[in-house]
Amino acid sequence: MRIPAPNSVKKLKKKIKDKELQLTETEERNRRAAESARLKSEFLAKMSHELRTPLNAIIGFAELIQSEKIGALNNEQQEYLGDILVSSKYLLQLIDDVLDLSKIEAGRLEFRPEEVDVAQLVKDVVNVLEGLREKKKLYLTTSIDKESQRAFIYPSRFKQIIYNYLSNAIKFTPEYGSIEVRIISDKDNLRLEVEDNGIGIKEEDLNKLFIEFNQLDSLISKKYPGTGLGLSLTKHIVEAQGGNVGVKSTFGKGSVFYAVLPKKC
Amino acid sequence: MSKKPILIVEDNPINLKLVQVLLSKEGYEVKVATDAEEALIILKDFHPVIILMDIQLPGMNGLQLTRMLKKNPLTKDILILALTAYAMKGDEEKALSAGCDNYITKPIDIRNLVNMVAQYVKKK
Repeated sequence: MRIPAPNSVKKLKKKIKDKELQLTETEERNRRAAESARLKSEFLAKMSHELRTPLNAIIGFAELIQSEKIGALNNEQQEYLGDILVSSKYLLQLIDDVLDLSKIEAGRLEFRPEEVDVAQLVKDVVNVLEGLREKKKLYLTTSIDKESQRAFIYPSRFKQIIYNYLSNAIKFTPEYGSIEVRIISDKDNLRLEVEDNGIGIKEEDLNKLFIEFNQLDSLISKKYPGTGLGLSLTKHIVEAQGGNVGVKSTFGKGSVFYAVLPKKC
Repeated sequence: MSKKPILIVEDNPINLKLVQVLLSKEGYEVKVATDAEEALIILKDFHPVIILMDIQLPGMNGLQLTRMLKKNPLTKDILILALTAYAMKGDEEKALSAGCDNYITKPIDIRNLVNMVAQYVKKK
């Protein structure tokens, strides 16, 4: 056996010590990062509560007046009250979306998959958006293939995905346009597609979608107001379940947004 | 038919007024408290069928008050519906495990609140 020179032993010892120091530093950094993520998510939860409390009163009183239980309203009053309600509900949506995003970042978004009737979920979302569709006289069809009738997924998040795509399609499709919601699947994956013949997206803009607060340009966001969070949330929700999202589009002709989810996630 | 008594415990005066107006319009006898101590004083000689309980109260919170009422033989049969504005996970479970019979998430949907209260009053 060769005995190392005392010098090199010293060197080795120092090397080990340095490595140990580095490790504790990394551990400390990780601990701090986790702590700051926790604080941020706590802060957002508290803030969401603080914002919801006054909104609760605004929406509640506006609905009470709208119900005409206090007294009859003329058409103009009804209209402005409707404006108050639309704006406050939009604000509420924004708060919910921001909270969802913060939960995703903190890895605290929950998924509780169960066996679901896919057609029913699609129907639920279509019903919620019926008023908006009707207003623009859009032609909406849905098709669900045989393989997709039942799936083991988390229903409320799946509805959120359909809702985000479909409400976008309704928003960006001119009057009398058409939209199709399709669900096609194979053995392993469920594929949702929402196709419209609306304004479409320029090729150079395709990669800007699905990013927070990134509505394509200020002109578009003025004409089509939105929170700028819908698509990014959709991407996070789908990816957190092991799926993926994407879009195909021809500018001026329309778009197809899709989401692929494992049937058993 | 006599007016069914309801107690609302909520610390935000405007939100309190909203629920009070809503339920009074529906024909209930409504009393209000802005914190747990006040609620306990009112409950000495007022026997509601339902308490609408805000969870976040100054001092003793709604969960603690619920546990206390559910332990007391005189008040344990009052139905308690939690009003939660918490959107974080686990808060509904906390309300239920403290003994609340159900919960309503804020912002309150007027029809939802009125229907739920009517449903529980009927059960009584």
